[in-house]
Amino acid sequence: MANEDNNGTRQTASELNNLLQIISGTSAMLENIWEGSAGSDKYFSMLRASVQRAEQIAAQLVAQAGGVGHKVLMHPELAALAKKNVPMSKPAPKKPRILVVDDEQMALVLSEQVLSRAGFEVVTTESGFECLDIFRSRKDDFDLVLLDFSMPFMDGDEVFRRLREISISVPVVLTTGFIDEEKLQSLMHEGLAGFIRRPHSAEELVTYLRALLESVRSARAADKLRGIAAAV
Amino acid sequence: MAMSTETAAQAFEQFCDNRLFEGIKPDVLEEIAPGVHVRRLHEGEVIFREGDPADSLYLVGKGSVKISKTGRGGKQETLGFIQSGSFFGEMALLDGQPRSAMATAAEATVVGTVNEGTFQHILELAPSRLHMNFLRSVTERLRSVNAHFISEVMRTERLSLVGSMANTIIHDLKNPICIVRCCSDLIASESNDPRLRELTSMLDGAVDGMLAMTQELLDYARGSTALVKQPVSVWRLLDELKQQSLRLLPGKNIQFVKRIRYDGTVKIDLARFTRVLCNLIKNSREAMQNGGILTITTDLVKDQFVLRISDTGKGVPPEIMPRLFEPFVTHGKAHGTGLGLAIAKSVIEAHAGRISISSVHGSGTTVDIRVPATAPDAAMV
Repeated sequence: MANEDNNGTRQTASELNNLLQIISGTSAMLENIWEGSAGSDKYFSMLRASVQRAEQIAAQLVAQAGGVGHKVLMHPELAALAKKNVPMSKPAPKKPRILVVDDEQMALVLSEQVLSRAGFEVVTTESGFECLDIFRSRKDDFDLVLLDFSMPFMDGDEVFRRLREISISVPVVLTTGFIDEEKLQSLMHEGLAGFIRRPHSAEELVTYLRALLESVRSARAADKLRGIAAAV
Repeated sequence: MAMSTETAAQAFEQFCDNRLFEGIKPDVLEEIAPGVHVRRLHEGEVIFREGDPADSLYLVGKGSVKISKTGRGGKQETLGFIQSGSFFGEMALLDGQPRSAMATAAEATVVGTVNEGTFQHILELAPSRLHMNFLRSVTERLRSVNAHFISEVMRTERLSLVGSMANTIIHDLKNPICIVRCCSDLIASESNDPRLRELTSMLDGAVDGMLAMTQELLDYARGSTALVKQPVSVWRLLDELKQQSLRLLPGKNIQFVKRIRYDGTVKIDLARFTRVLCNLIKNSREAMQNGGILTITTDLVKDQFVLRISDTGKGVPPEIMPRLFEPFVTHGKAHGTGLGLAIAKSVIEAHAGRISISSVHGSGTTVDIRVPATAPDAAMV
């Protein structure tokens, strides 16, 4: 019943965080390419402070609605293998290819830019249907799927299950502005590799994905993942 | 004629295991069988209406029957469904009062009609079993109505909680978001770099989305209070719509058609009424991703100003139609609060009006709004 009561709050929290993700991502990129007058720095510090303030308010909303408070979570068996302090610049053995699924075009543009700059190869798609289509024909091409949870017509939950039917070996990471603890745990139980909560910074995303892929590589090498049904 | 009536003892067999007859001996049933009249009904056929004189009770053979009652605004509210093997309509027969609800066949249904004479006959033949079966039925219905009532009360409380929550948060959120908008504008004005322009326009898009959400939450939390109604000409209303919303249509490959059959005045809160219409037009726009036709018609019907917005979009899935005006119901929208239609309903009702939606999934939706028009000599805005 408590879950039903919070339906509206959860939906609001999720949408606000999705928009904040775009706002914070765009602001960071603006700052990166800024070549305007030196006096304009104050606009960026105001921008950063305002985005931070909005993020704090949205985080309160997530807490109020009983959502997962952690910024990132990794499947326990992967987390146990994760090496601490993976350097941002650590080169991967080959360029990892990531399939990014999000119904919001602006979010896709940002993810693509952030991940490409960080040395990933990125394929983007705007819907669960298209994602499954791409994945079905190229299932061995991807090292990871980064999946938006709240999408119309076919949400991340369903896309994840269908991806699992096609391949149980690709790690799937969920990204969302809101998810409740119970739901996340049940998805992890079914083999979800991890979760990153929006809004997050470019660095947070890149560091997290690198650590996760590193753990997956270690796990495969050691064949240690029997507990999650060879999920990764 | 859609309905056919027959009296046949052999047709009675389908009612033998009805709950009304539970525990009643077969020889008694055989005796009353000729008094039960079989009616075959098609889906939607009315068995009796609220207020009708009551002279029979009904046994449900095949199919099911919907029981509904006139609720707020003359709308039929469903109270429940009577399934095959059960009976209904007995209360009015006992207390002699007119029907308190309407009964309609929910699908192709066969009912057995037990008139007052036959009913008395059963009472004489098996009084204790019949009383027991009645008591059981009444108790079950009482429990079910109770459960329904409690869940409705909880739902209302939940919505009021959401309202107060929204109010606090949006006030907190509006400030930082407005500052983001200002900073974005200032940054854009200081550079001609096209990459930067693209990013600031993305930022503006996200800020717009966030402000629209916060405005919707604010409207919802505020409810129907503080309406400022004044007589407004239909042309003025259309002009507002054009400035705020309709001008965006050609860019979306949507043809706009207007049929103005009433262009007098109407007493409305122009700002909030316009916001409701803009929201509806936005819904239509989103339903016509591949283009289409948006039609706005105005009429005067019995002193009511009737405004219809029709689109040729993808329509509303039938499963969400009954809950369309409930808050937090969305369908296929990115960044929707799910409050748009709930707000539309509260604003239109605050104008002593009504809003209804009809839709054919896959081919389009029509929103029908009716509010009282004003006297023609009222001062216009």
